[in-house]
Amino acid sequence: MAETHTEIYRPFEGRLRSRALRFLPLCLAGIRVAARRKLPLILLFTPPAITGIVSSFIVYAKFSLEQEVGTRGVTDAGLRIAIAMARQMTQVHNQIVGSQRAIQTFALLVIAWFGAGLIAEDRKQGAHLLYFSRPLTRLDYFLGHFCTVAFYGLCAVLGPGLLICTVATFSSPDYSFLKEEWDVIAATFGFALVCVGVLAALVLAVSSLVNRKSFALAGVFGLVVASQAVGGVMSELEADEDFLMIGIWSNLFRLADWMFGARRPIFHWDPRWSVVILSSLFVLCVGVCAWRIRRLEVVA
Amino acid sequence: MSAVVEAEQVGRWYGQVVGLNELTLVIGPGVTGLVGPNGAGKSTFLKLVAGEIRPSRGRLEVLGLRPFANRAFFRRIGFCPQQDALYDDLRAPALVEFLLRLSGYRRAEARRRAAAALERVGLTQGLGRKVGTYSKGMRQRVKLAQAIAHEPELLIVDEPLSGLDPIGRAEMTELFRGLGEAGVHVLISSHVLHEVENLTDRIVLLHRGRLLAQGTVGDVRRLLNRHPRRVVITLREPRRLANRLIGLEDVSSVRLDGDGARLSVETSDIESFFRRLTAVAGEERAGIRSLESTDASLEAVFDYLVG
Repeated sequence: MAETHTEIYRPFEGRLRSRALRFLPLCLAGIRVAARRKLPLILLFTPPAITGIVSSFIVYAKFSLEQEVGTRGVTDAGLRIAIAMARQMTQVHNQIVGSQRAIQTFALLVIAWFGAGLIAEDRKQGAHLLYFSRPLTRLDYFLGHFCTVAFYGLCAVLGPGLLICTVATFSSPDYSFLKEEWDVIAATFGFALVCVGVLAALVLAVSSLVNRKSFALAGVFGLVVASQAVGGVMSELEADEDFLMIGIWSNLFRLADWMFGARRPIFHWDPRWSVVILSSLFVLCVGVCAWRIRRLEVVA
Repeated sequence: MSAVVEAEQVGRWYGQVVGLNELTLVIGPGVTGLVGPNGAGKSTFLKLVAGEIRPSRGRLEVLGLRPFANRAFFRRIGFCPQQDALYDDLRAPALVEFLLRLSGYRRAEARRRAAAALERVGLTQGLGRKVGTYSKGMRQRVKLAQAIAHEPELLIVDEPLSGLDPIGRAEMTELFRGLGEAGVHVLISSHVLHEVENLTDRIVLLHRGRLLAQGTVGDVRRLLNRHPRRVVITLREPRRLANRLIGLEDVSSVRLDGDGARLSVETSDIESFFRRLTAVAGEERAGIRSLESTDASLEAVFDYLVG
């Protein structure tokens, strides 16, 4: 009978520890698990790395050329004009905007690859049962996974931008880039956070809706590419370029143009519309995640 | 000691599907087996007890606390789910350490506890390999290690013996016994009744989301005595004996089975029946070759109670 164990029952004693950043172990484990597979890391991060290195080299060459011209002087008028044009083209912020456009596909690939399976595989395998029997809230669970995706996303998006800024800082005379164009560094951080935040939320939302990583990957790419395609088609049919606002990438590019002070003739709409669209998308995705994580109970 | 689990009119449904229905029970300290066929509501009940899901209705208290989303409660329990939910790319010590860190332990403490727990569950070989390469038994041990590593008061284990070889089962059973003797309350589910019977005398029978019976195996057997029990007799002269048996007071039915070579008898008093059978079979020279009570196992108890 039950009395067998009554005598040696030991009631709980001691203090319960509460800890901030409870999601951090989940995030770190996610990063560690993803890092175990080297091939995707190499394949997915090589293009952003090459883009960053090439852009950095151009920035380095620009500052070197400027110093050379400043030392020796240029007498030929035609050469002066060419140098002025080259300076404009090789502005650091232009390089960063250009590199961001170049790596957007790979950034999406990185974020989708490392994030697509997180919630989907957890639900499929029932891993959330291990998490939710511990002092981990649903919010901690979401943040843990979000930070895992964001880490790899920032490596892909922020890494090249920071590399360019670092090279620009050390190549510019007397660190003039850091002193005079610090807003470019701030914009680099700002854009990376917005881009990664929106795409990570989108990937997690799709991941929470399906049961397989492959479905989530297809879903994310389908959504992003379809939004671009629909925007492009509508823009052509209606002869109104503002329809490009439908595309997620278009909004990110418009935002990049605006944040870095660059300008691309094809995008003319008010950038605040892009802010509204991307914010709405982010809120919607977080809402979907909250709903689906809450629904994990049902399939538990 | 007050009850470990107190459920009052607890119901849980998934949309149209009823997982658990109006369950009212009290589970005391010690090792308790939760028994029922697939779909009986065992896993639902364990997830409710583990605070993984919340009851759709009713009141549930475990260790005196409401379990769902209760962080103070989660520190006091260990849950070993049925699902094979492990990070395949991690090594066992790293996996258990990671889960302990989710519980709030610092890295060094988590590492120490992880090593101790893995040793306790007998997983000392292959720790350098990834969990994905482990056998079913080794994976079960890892799951169990993560559940006991923080020394919980209540261990909730869902189908821990499924998929294990006989040696693995014996070792696991011994481990659960040891935990019970060490003062840990263990709530363990299985659809294989003799597994639970080997582990504990106290069982809870669930069927179709309802409580069917609760108590010791003896209690349940006494409950069984209210129901007719079946005896299968293989003999030389089945028809002659059948004629005599049908007239006995405590025999409710007699049936000829197996091409007329066997008698299947239902009786409401098994002990009295056996006493009388000896005399009647002798008188009729029935030539009994074998006698089998199909109700000897707990499986049969369950079959009877389910109806």
